[in-house]
Amino acid sequence: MTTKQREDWLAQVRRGLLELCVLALTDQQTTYGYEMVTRLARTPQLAAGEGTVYPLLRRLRRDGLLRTSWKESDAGPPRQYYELTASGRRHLAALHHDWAAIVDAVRINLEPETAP
Amino acid sequence: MSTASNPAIDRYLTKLSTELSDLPEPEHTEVVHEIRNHAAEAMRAGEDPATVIERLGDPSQLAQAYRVELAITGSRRPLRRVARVFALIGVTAVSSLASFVVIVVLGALTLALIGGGAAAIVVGIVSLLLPGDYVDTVLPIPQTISELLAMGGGVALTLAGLFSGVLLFFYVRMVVRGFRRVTGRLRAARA
Repeated sequence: MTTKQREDWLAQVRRGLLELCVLALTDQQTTYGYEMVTRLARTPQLAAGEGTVYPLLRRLRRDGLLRTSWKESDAGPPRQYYELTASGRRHLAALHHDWAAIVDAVRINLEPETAP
Repeated sequence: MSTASNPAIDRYLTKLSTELSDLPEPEHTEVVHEIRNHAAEAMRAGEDPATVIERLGDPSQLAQAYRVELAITGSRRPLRRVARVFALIGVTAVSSLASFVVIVVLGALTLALIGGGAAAIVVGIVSLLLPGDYVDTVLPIPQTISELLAMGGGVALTLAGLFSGVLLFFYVRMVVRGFRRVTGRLRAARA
């Protein structure tokens, strides 16, 4: 039961954070789907597998935060690259700001108050 | 596409496409396309198809993840999902009634045509083998021709019966597939 509760909690926390990570990764460099999955696999704590990343990318596209363009690849057929739109860039900046504020807020609550 | 023609991957994509059939176009096609591209890239990177499929997860779960993710933007999606379940139940009920009639009629037709055809052939042969010669009273033609006509007609009837049987087979197969699809979607909608 505790494991189940922990899993549920983790799923909720990851859910929103993955969006921030995907936007940040796209901001660092334009990337195609498989590369995005591979880059996210470096951090298994996020549990961001194919089954999560592709649906998310699809939503971010539909919401106009990401756009795609086809580019030739060195080997094989052309790849569909993701990049941030102007509104995606603004959204990322806002989330970045919010995330920093939340980390501070959580830290305040986690640390015991020190007597002055 | 140079590498994407792997039968296991193709089967996976077909299942995914079916599971996602409630997704509007062009999104439905695009989603199948992006997963196909992913599989091709992964295999080009040296992953074997079984691993690729395992990591993508069950097609119905992947489809459900898309559905959940894309429903976030739409505010009236929960209601639509309930409505969809009821719509599917309705369609299934109506179409199974129609299917029942079609299957009974086609089945009876098949049996009657094959039975009648076989009887006509047997009568023709028996009559041909029996001695005696006369001019047919129904059709004013010699007996041999009348017997050959009976056999030819019998063969035609039997062929028609077989055709009807084949139709029945394909119809039943279609109904079974449709039913599986509907139950699969109901399961996905409930998940």
